[in-house]
Amino acid sequence: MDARHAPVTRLAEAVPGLTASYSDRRMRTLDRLIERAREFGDRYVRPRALEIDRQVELDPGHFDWDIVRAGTGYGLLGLPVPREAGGQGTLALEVSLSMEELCAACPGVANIFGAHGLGIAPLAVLGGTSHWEGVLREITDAERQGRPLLMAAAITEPDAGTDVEDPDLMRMGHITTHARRVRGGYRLSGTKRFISNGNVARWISVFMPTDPRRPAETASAFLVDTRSDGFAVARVEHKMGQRACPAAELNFDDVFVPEELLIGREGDGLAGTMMMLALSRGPVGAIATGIARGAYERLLAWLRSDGDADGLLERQEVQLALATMHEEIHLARQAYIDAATAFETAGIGRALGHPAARVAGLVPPAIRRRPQVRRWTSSATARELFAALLRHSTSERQATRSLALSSLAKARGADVAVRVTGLALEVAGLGAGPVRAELEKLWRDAKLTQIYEGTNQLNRLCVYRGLSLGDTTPEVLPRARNGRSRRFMNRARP
Amino acid sequence: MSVSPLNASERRELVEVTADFARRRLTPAARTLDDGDGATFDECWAGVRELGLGRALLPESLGGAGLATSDLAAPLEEVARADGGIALSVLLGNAALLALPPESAAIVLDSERWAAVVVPDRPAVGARALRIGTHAGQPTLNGHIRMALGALGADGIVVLGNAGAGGAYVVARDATGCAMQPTTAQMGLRAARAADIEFADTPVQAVTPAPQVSTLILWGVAAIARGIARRAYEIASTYAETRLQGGVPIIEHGAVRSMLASMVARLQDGRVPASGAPGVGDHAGALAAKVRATDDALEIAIDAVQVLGGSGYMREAGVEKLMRDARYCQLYPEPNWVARDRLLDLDRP
Repeated sequence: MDARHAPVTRLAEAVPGLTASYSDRRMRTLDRLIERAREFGDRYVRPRALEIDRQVELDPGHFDWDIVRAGTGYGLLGLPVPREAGGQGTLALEVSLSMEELCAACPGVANIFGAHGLGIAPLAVLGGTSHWEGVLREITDAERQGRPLLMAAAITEPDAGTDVEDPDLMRMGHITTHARRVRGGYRLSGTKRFISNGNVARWISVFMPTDPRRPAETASAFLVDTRSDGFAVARVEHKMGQRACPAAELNFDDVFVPEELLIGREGDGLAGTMMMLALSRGPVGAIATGIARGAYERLLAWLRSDGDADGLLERQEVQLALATMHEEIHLARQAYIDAATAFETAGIGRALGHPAARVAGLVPPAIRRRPQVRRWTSSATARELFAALLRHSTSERQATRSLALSSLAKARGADVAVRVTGLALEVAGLGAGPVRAELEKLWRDAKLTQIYEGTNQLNRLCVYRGLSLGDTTPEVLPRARNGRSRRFMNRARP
Repeated sequence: MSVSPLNASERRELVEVTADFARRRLTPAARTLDDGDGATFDECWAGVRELGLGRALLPESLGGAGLATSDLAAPLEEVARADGGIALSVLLGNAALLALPPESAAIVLDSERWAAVVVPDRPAVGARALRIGTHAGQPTLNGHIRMALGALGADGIVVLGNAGAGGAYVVARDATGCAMQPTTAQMGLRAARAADIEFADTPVQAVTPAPQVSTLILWGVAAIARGIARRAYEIASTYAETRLQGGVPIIEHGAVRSMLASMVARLQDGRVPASGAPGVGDHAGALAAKVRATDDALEIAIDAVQVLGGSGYMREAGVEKLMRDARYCQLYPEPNWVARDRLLDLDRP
């Protein structure tokens, strides 16, 4: 039996608890989404996964645009884009479920779409309506024409990896990038490292402080056009796994960013990072779950079909190993679904469904595109209003808890991915034939999930603070500044 | 072919000389060896030969260095600190020569590299893929062996089981009906280039290998795993001393300290006894050492990558290679779950 022909499990069977929370209609929609992602994975990704992995090993600069182009037919680039900008407007749950499917096929290819979503995330959680008719519309228009336009997010620096993902460490960290305020905008300087999609993205959400001596207080997010003067790809890394998705080092040499491409308010960068992580760590748990599932499905299919595996499936040790894998995958999936649900219903996601945001969505695109409207949506007042809306839709405690649940799903899922892929490899052994290379690739791919989006150790410290102690992290939401916007939001409170 | 083990000072000297060679000649070449570059392998192998490690276990009367099997573990560990694949090639070369009858070993040229190919007994995968037959009174092999580590480019191979019993089969490089193809996508120990071998009525010479051969391979893999683990710890601890996060070296962060501390404990636990690896007949001891050392090496290497974070995942740092190599040690010559199973059988009254 080929792994591609594993029985299709409905979401209600895989996660029975979801049926209590969601309507039949929503469950059917989610099932369709999963089927589409699985179809893309089976048709375009699985057959080429090993080949792409080998090509990139020989040449880290190789990038398979064909497979990304094929993804446009499945709406994968518009998946996290708000509906108002022509996208599908999905948040953590849909993105997570899609990522699990894609990762069961190839985590490297999946991560191209994941990193793209990460680039969009700051626009969604900090940007309000201001980028709907800018880059977000550009993405969805291009996708409809079958032209992939990729995004990326640039946070990590050569001397600051963990530092830039934790408020306390960031205050003491060695941040060397700098966004200098100039007339009409900012000038960005410094180096960003390990940026997924960094060398293939058209636009990048970049985080830099306006005062490097106070990085936590002045970190800000900017939308950078990679065609700007002063932007350069310094190198593409030679990775152990997830090779289909490149990681690049990026140099910013006085890159000009106009004022309107500041994402959110100046100084909201740390909150943007925290909210982005609350949104994205759950999907990383899904990525890890998909990797584990990919290994489990391949192993089971091989044990059932390959002559060389004859007899292994009769061994209780092997049966127990398979059962353990199934258990681990089931629990990892539960964890990321909890994280996604918390983000959408009790966390930051609520702000995006706030009546004030919905009202903005009722304005026809043709009007939103008018220069005076675009000027207003990127004005300081509009930014203040969106920050206030975020604060009023959720609380620091809820947002902290959402971040902690996402971190839990990420850390747990990543450990499961490394364990399950390793177990699959051990059951099969070196003499297993073609499936061995696939399992080895998944094992190499799995290790990255313990590292990116914050190391598992950092994520567990988030779990400790947010769940064990029940502490609140004030930096997880934009700070309140403007009394008028606060009063406005109080009146608009649902 | 009995030889007496080295005394402590001789063994210390052997380790120092090997460590110096590994540091000067192998460490700088590790990345190219990992690319599977044949020319680099040949250069390194020339160094191995100069040092006498290529035929370390052959008696001096047969042109070897005359080491006892128990004395090979320590130098293997030093070679593995630089490159696990070269260390495995040394081990398999010596195991092959040791398996040959003395009169055959005597005519193997110094320039030749041989490799022992271990075929796992059941229940491991591939056990049924090889059949022994006879043709015109001569033993023949039919079937295939997948991923025979170290076999690609070898001048001859000796096929043997992993249980320490039964016969072995000598296959010349140009034997009729024997076709070797490079194994695709070899993830670890890449300097010991693997071959997929097809046999079609291939005439072979049946031999009865010395009983210590299969034990030697297990002890050898344990030593290689330990060398890999030591290198992983060295890289991780050096990095942790110098990398700052939150304004302090990451070795001051409890999360990193606990990983490093666990590495130290594993390395202390798995130290090879001062007298070298135990002796000839202790197959159970060798199995247990292999399982323990390779499991430890894998855990250490995975954590070492974690200590380095994103840098560890990139090839440049050289630690992800150790993770791949350690995984192959765990799977060779059979996966550890199979090794544990055999260990239980050996332990039963």
